[in-house]
Amino acid sequence: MKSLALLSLLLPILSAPAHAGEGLFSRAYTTETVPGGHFELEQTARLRTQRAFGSYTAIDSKSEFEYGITDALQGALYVNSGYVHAVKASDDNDQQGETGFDRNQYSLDSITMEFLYRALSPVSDPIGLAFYIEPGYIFHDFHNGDKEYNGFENEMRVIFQKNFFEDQLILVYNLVAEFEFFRYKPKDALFTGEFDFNNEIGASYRVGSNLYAGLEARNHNEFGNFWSHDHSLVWVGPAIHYGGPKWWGTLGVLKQIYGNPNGPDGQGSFQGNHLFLHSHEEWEITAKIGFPF
Amino acid sequence: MKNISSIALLLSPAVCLQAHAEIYMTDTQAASLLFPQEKLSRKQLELTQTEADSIEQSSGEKVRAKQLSLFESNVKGNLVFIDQVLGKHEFITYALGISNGKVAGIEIIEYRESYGQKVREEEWRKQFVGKEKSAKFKLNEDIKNISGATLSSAHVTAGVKRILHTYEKVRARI
Repeated sequence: MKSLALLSLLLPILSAPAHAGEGLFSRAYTTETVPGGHFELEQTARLRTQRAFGSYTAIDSKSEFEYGITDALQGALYVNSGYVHAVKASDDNDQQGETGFDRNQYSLDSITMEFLYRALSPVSDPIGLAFYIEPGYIFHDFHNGDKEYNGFENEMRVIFQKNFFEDQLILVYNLVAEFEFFRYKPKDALFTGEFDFNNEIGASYRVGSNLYAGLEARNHNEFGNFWSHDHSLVWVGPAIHYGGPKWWGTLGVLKQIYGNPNGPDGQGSFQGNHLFLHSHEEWEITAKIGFPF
Repeated sequence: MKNISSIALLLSPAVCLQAHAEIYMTDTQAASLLFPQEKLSRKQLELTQTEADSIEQSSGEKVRAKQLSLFESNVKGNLVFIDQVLGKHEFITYALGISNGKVAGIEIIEYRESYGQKVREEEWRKQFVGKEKSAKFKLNEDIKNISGATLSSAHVTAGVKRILHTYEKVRARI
């Protein structure tokens, strides 16, 4: 059954034989939307690995249906699932996370909706501008696969895009704010919450007719109870993108280059050497594929 | 677990689609559509670096290829340029008919994008007819945008502007 679950995560990548919301980067979004009346199927698989201690590998799967409500407004429905393999691995939220938690499971993590509204086009206006909102219901903590957990999330983005050299060089910046309300059932009667804000920046150049090569950086900042700073991190890495009339695909790698806090924490638990690896990973590899209809 | 795996499998978009690649006509057919009844002969010209620089300066558009592929008509002042511009994914090949410095017509020869097949529709193409190099050629102003193909329509528009400036540069040589 485990292999079947893993297959379900990888199948969309292996079976690739179509535009609009093309993901040029691992994380950052462009202002592009699916044209009105058209839809797109998109599949993302992300491998995350290497924590402060123990062995930790996770594969996140995002299956998405996008629909162009108008040329400038896109709606989408996501199903997020994941596989976690952890042996004595560190984590913030798991009860065993300080000394190392063990888990080996596939789970349905969350269901989310997305609305992306493009106010300005980077092709016909001086700068592209879009607004994004993604409310969702969380079944499990995707960081550790903890099933004794549920909650709500809402991610919001302001997306800026500027194109240069006949739209061959694309620069994007995303300002991301995310609110999560969650509880550990049945222990917690009340929901607690966290606030994340991220800065995501990417540059991608059209090196061939169908091929883009780019660089991306992501800064993630997490605040427990919405105000108490937990950690801040920076990842950087390359992303290559193929775009064709029938399908598009993106492969990106991000490496954590800085994390705070780092080193041993107050309880002597190791946070990572100049990195924060307690509940985030050093490496993530993202593969995306999309089919427009 | 079994149910979840089954759902995931169902949601996996392992779908094969038909190609959108389309070559609609040959360049000779396009030239004949633009100037029917006229005798057209194929010509190749190469821009000098000075000419290319001058076209870039006057049109504000980049000259990607100095080699020009065109058809000369037996009617003086009528030329058809076969040109390519960048589409979202592939090059868009089109033929631009120019008569004494004004656009006589435009035909799309090859368009291979997922969306925006309206570039082929006469209603969009006829916006260019009669325009001279002094026109604005600005999307959403004197040229309408095409739903889902803003980049393609912007680049074809820029291409027409560039070719009109090219026409002025090379007509004395033909």
